[in-house]
Amino acid sequence: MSNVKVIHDTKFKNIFISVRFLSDLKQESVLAKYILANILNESCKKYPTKQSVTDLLDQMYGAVYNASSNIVGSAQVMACKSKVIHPTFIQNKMDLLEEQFKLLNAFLFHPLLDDKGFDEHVFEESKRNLIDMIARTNDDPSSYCMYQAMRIAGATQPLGWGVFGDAKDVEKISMQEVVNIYHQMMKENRVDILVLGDVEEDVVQELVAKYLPFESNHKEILPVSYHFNDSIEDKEQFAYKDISQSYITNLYTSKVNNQDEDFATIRIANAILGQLPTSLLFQEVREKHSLCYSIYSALFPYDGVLGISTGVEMSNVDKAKTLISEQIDRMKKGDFEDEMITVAKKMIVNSLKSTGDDADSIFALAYRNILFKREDSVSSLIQEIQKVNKEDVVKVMNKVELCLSYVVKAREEA
Amino acid sequence: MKKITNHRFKETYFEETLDNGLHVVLWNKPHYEKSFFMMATPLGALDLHQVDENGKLYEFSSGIAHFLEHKMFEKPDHDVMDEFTAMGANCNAFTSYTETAYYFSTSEDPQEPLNLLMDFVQELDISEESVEKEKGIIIQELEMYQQMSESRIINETMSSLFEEHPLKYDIGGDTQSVSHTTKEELERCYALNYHPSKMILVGVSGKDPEVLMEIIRKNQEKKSFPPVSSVERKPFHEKNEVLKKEHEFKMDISIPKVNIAFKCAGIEDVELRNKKEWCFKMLFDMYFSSLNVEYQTWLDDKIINNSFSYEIDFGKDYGILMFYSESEQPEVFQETVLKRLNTIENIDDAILEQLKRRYFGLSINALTSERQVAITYMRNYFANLDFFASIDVIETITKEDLLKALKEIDLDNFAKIVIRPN
Repeated sequence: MSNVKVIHDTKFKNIFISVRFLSDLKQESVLAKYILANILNESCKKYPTKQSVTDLLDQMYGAVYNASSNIVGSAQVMACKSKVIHPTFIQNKMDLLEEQFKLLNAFLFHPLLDDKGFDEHVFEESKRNLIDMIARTNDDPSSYCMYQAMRIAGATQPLGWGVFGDAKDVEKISMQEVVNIYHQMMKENRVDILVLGDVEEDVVQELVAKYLPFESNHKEILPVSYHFNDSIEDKEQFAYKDISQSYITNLYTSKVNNQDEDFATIRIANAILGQLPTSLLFQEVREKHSLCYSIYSALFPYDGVLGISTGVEMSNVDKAKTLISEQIDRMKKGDFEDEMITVAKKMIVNSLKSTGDDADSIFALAYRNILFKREDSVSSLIQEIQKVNKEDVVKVMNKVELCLSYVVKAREEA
Repeated sequence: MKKITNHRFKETYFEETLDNGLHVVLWNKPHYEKSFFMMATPLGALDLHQVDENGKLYEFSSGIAHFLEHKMFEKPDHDVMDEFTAMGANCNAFTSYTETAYYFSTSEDPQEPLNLLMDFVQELDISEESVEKEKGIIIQELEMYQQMSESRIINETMSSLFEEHPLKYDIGGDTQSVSHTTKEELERCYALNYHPSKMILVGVSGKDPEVLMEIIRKNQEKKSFPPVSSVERKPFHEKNEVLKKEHEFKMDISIPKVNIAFKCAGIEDVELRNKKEWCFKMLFDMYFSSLNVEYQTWLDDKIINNSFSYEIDFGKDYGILMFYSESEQPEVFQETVLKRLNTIENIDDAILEQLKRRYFGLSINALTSERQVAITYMRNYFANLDFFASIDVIETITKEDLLKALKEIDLDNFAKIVIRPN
């Protein structure tokens, strides 16, 4: 039996299903899992071509199906999602909910796989897609900067393993590796099936039993959150690109992940530092000094890492870095107005409250509860946010330390 | 307040035009926590030369609408974004070729931010100094887009297609036009284009529409606006042919990118234009996607990769059809697109019906996004097109319509834009 979570909600016009496979994050198999996701996305025995898959989805009134592999802290999650419109919108008798389960059954249980492996053609195309995606990401200087920083800082830790990697490593992946991962996923991974919409629990349970009969033995939940530790000696690194603007990414160890008690506190600290128009970074670097268009800070909640990103003129890189470091120091000293705590709380509460309007957010909260064996609700999370005071914020910020400052410099002006 | 219910899509909205001319639409989304409000004017990047009722011409620097969008947020002693943030509301804005829109969302009571939205959009109060300071930020923003090869190729495509049409400019203008923009120019542009009678306010919310409408009425009743002349975009002569047939340049990227863009005539009648856009979308979905078996061959032969996409955009005075991909073989890509377009002879009725079924589902999906509902309603309103009629027209499309649309593409009239790695 699989773990099934049905979330009954009548306000949505769609029915959403997400099947999630949880596995350890192993550096050597990250890319192979990306390829497997692509293969599972592409075709299956019953629908062996792109054309036949499109026909199927069209017959189901523009249904959506997609498989993706995601890094979640120190774990890797394969998520196979599907979405159909609610059957009340259609005149004919098609049972879109059952069709949706049939679709997931076809793609997950009956992929284009025989004794020799997956279809060679699909395998090669999936590799190519991944290689092209790596190239595309590297071509965008701002994401290149962020990913390089994660790669360098996280060379020995999960933070750096999930980044798409090197095209050469993709070439080396063998068919057998991917086939093994597929079998492992189906037999050993913990499987959770999340269903959202105007559906009946017992109907869903029956459909799961009929179409998604996983025999998973691996029922325990893996730890997914961890504490990133800083092992980088050279904290200032850079690369050149032929571009006119330069990009900065700073990564900090925060020593607080989303399983820790003071996670609500670091969320508030992050909002004050760089998530809002009133934040210190935005106010100082953009508004006061006009150095950039965009600057923000963000948490890597499963890793205990905080990051800051911006793009500036080459001649302003040092000035921007100094200003960024000054804002971190202000946070550590409590040199910000009390009002900012109130504002940060309001904005986080606002975003928590809207969780219920969006399928992805609902699934994310439900899945996090499964992973952490918790029963958090929007209101309990709001309560935690409300409890935080300025002293807590200063205390949590004093744990934050710079791990790496990475700059992609504009070559022409250098 | 008029109530409009659509049974096919199970949606209801309310609308009213206030005494000062402001058109208000309140889309009712029961049980939604979040409210989304958007106030917009049909002033876009294309409106550089405007003519009023008396024939008086107003000329603006390129990027003026976008510059104005940036400055609207600034009040003498504070920034409006901070006020929204203090209320627990997320606020932002965008400028397109044809409109400027300001919006916020909140899961709290929307009354306060709703009043703020109307108040800040209906007042411009800027200083010389603040206009100067903004230039640095805007130039950084333009720089940022210039660095991104996807947005860069679109800009270069537009400037290859058009000689006179303001589509040739980036929405934000360029370093020079931004540097030359003045406070007086911004004020003149604002006065002409931000009168309530020219604007729309769209709300998408689970809150009681009566209560929301009353908040809006009260806010508007206490304000007065000097009468303003209607303005139109000055017509200009744009030749039918593309300006530059080929344009290549280099960037620090690893795979070349290619765009084949056909220049078409604009379509004055808005319903016809909407229908024609759907026809092209159907044609391209039939022949340039996985529905066509050749698509797999193009991938296998590395003529395209999974970045391949197409765009269809028509206005009353322009029409663009674009085919884009990363490709090591830009020349073969061009041949493939042309050959495919050239050899469409028949339309399969079954596929036509299949696509209609798909679009119906996708239209329902789109209705679940507050932001998308607001943007689509606003665009249709400015274009004078009914929201649901613009979708229902799909059902009326025949294969003859598709073949007719196809014949209208001048297959010789395209520009090829290529970005190659350094």
